Amino acid sequence: MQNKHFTLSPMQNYTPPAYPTRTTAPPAALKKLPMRWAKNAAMIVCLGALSIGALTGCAAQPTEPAARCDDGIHGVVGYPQRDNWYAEDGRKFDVEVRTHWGGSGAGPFYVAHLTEQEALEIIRNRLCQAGICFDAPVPDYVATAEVPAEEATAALSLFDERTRQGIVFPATSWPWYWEIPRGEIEDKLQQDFAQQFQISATFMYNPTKSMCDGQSWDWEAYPTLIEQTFTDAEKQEAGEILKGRLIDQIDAFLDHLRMEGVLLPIEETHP
Amino acid sequence: MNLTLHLTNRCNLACTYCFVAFGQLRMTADTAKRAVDVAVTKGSPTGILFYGGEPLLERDVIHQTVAYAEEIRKKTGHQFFYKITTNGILLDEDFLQFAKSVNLTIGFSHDGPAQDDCRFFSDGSPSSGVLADKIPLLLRYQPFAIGMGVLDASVVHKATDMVKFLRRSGFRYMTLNLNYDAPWTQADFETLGQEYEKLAKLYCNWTLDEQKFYLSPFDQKILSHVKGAAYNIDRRNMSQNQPSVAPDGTIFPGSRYVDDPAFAIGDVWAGIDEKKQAFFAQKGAIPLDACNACAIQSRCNYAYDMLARQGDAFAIDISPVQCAHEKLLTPIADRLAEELYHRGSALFMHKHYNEMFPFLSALEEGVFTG
Repeated sequence: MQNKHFTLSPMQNYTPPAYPTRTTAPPAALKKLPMRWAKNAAMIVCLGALSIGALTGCAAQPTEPAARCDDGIHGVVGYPQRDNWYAEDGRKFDVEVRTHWGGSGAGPFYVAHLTEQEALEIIRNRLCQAGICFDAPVPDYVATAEVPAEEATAALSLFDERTRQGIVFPATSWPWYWEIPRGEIEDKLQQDFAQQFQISATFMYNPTKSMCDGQSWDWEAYPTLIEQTFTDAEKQEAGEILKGRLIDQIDAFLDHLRMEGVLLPIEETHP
Repeated sequence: MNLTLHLTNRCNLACTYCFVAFGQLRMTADTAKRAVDVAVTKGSPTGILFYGGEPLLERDVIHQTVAYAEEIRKKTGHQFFYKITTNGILLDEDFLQFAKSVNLTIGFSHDGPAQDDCRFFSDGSPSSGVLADKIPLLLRYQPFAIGMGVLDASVVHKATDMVKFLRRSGFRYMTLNLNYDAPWTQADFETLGQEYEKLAKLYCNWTLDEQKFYLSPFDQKILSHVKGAAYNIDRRNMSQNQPSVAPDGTIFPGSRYVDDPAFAIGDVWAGIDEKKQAFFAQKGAIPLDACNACAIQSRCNYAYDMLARQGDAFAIDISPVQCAHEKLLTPIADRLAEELYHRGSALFMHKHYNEMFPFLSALEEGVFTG
């Protein structure tokens, strides 16, 4: 233990370091999540379970559950005028019809082969089969993301309290929509959902095809234009294709959850 | 209670800095099982560290000990955790599969670019070549295996490269332990300070890059501030709760005291003499006058290894090298932590201030889901 080059000697003075102890750390010290966690569904679920109240001070504000649609899939034509959407069968859309990232050019005018309710119901049923059931009221949480000259917002369309998984069916009424790299807004909004509410938000899109690329808009003529463009058979066929695309999105999401450990591996849920 | 089982004092390497008195002693499986019985009486859970010499020379004893403990677990629900510290020479797929099946954590000693300076076979031949294929094999089975480097005075200039080697090899948990018994000089310590400064930059960059890793000595030293007074209490308790069992079954307060009968506190047949254990614990809890006057006393690691023997009397003794090391390292670690705190690194904050971090970290790595 002896060494001729060194002797025991106390450090007489030492300025305490300028970072806190666990006792003196500010309450918000853990509010900011590492990016690697904010993007990890399992982590968000766990953090939510451990510390939702303590870390955010936010309480869920129950709202009415998202509307259910018991109808089957059938061709629907409409145009995006919020609170003023009607299916061709006269059924009013009670939620906004969304566009998808595949849309291009002229803007958010789409043929809606799947109504919002239908798409949400597919998501709800598919996820419920896998163990995530959206029976709880959807909290009125709004995530925000700073973008050039604007603030993007997103609200939950579906929410599972147990796993703290939320589904966002995003509106694309963001005017800077085509100026932001694809996915960047979602990344920011997901991060905000994670940091503010400890919710893992997944964005899904109504995969409806845009039909008016590059055309000028005639609001009055639009429904007629759609009617002239698509036969009923084509609408029916497109509806099935779109349903399949939506299910692909959901299944990819479920695979992600299984990889992250939020859900059991598929062999354990499907013996 | 945890146990360190010194399965043998045999080794297949002859490292320059090893403190083990080499010989031909071997622990029998029966002795190891009796040691497990002693630990079980102290309550659940029980951690068992297989140690040596080189413990993989006694692979059969490891298998039998784990099987015995698992029987107890099945009958009583008593929890066991297993760990081994090995030089890796004998690691193979069979053992790694076994380790995986019982969640046995592997600590792998490797000095990176200094491996062949200090860690060679008894005939003087280098060991790094033999280990080249072992590291990827180990990390394939155990991505969270611990890479353990020993920093000897003779290779102090390679400290940064040692850590880089471990990280580049894929280790996420890395320890760098100073060989306090080496003939350190002031010049060596100047070099050590420079190496620590370089390592601090690496640590900072990796953390800002949100790479998740553990690197003692920095993480340990930062924790010594963040945890406040609880730090050394925890460490002292930890040291007292991990007695060592010699190959013949004699129990000692810790691994550094094995082979010195003066420090024996019992054996695996009669159990631990709690009065003796308490005697050493109390001796070790009394700080030196020099330490009482030290501004970083509460952050010093002396509490872990402060009890030694001087002449015929028990005495509290602290290595002057360790003292100098604490005074060198603490300011560097604090500057590093201050920078990460002020730069708002979320990973740094959660790593050091979130008491659930180990659990969350394991969850993120999929430990609970396979």
